[in-house]
Amino acid sequence: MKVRVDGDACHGHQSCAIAAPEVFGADDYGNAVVLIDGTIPVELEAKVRRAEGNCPERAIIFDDV
Amino acid sequence: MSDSADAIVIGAGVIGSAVALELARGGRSVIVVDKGPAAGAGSTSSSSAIIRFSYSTPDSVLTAWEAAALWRDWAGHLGVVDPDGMAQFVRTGMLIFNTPGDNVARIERLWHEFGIAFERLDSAALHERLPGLDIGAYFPPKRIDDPHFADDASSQLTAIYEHESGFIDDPMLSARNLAHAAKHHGAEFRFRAEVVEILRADGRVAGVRLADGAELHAPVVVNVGGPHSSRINDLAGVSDGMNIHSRPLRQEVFTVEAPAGMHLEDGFPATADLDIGQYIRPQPGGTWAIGGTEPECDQLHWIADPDHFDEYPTVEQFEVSMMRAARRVPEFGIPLRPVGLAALYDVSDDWVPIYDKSDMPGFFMACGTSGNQFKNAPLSGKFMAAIIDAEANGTDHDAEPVQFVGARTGRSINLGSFSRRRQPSSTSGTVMG
Repeated sequence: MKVRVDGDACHGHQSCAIAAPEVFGADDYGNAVVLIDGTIPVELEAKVRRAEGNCPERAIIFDDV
Repeated sequence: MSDSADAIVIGAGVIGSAVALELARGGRSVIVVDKGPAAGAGSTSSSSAIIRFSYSTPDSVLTAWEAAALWRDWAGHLGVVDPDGMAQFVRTGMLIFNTPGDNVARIERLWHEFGIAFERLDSAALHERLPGLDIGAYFPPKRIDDPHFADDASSQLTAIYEHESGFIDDPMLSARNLAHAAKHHGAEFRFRAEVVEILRADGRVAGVRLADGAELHAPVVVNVGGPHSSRINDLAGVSDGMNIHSRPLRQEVFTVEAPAGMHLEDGFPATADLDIGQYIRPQPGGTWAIGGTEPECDQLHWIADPDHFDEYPTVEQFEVSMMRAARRVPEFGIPLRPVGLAALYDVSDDWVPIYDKSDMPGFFMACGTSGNQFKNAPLSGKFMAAIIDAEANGTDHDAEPVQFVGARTGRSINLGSFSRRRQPSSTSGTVMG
């Protein structure tokens, strides 16, 4: 699994950082950023799916690996 | 970075950033401190950001009407364009159903007085305008397990429709825009900076101490801490001098697919629906935000510690919100699982904000925003600057409340109506104000 954030869609609710703090953080503008380069470790995939599912702006996007 | 300024603002949400802008515009050096990572990253980012004028008191209606003009000329208000993007006002209009729990008659009187245009829609007109709605009257709102939840409608609703309402498309960005403009006038923002002590000297405020031990000094400190504001008032020792207090309330807002033909782009309005206890706000991309209006049957979730609360929407509140929405909108497809936000209001005793001084000279507060002050943020900044200027010029705002003349209407807004010492205002007792 690879994941990225659509910075234009993100409104900074930080719900992804609450769901998966190992994977998502906030930049200096309060928008979500992905903290992990490359493939998401398998043990974090469930958290990332939860973050993606609960993003009200649908700003979290999975990329094919 | 200087450690002293003419004013310190605690909180860089949409209102704190607006306060910083107006103080900086007035020539003060300003330092803004916020425990979060960025302007607007706290409760502001979760706001439904609705711009509407349906309040219970004259000063609240006038404030929202005046503030709307500032949102509609956002670049003009800021005086500068933020290169990172500008928040946009999106007009939707607002449909307000006539219900026993609402103050529609009072709102109509106030709108007549202030020249705010609206239409009255009888049941036939309402059905013709929005054929996708079931306009049955189901009041009062109920929980799903109430045996009367599925009762037939007692009558058909009527409504008023106001055309100038809408919402701001990106609340956090609007706070960032205000912060950008404030920085343009020299304000400095410090993030991840938590206030742990209010400093005092010679009987008045002298500054703040941060969690890292740093001291910032200023003769003026403004508490715009949102859900943290009551704690900050306690730190300052000013809570005992307040007749109106505020505390954090947890709220959930859900994002759902809008039914076909009822998208923002189809002209579907925002609705204030105290008949079912939910509001609907259409948003770009074919979704709705659905939030609650605190009906009596819903338990209010007061939060003791604003740093620790469940930040996920709950299945229980999701289900009741969806079932109520489905009564009003038969075509509405209930999602399989909750998508949305859980965040904090800072609710005052009467759901009216506190824009005021305090019993400690130099310490001011803009708090108790009760989930209904996002829309007023650009004007609240001006309110606070007016109160702070008046006090600096020797006026006692408690004894002689500042009268703020709105640029749009030329009418005076009595800032004493937002006093910490007021008797509770007669309002709807909900987020509707």
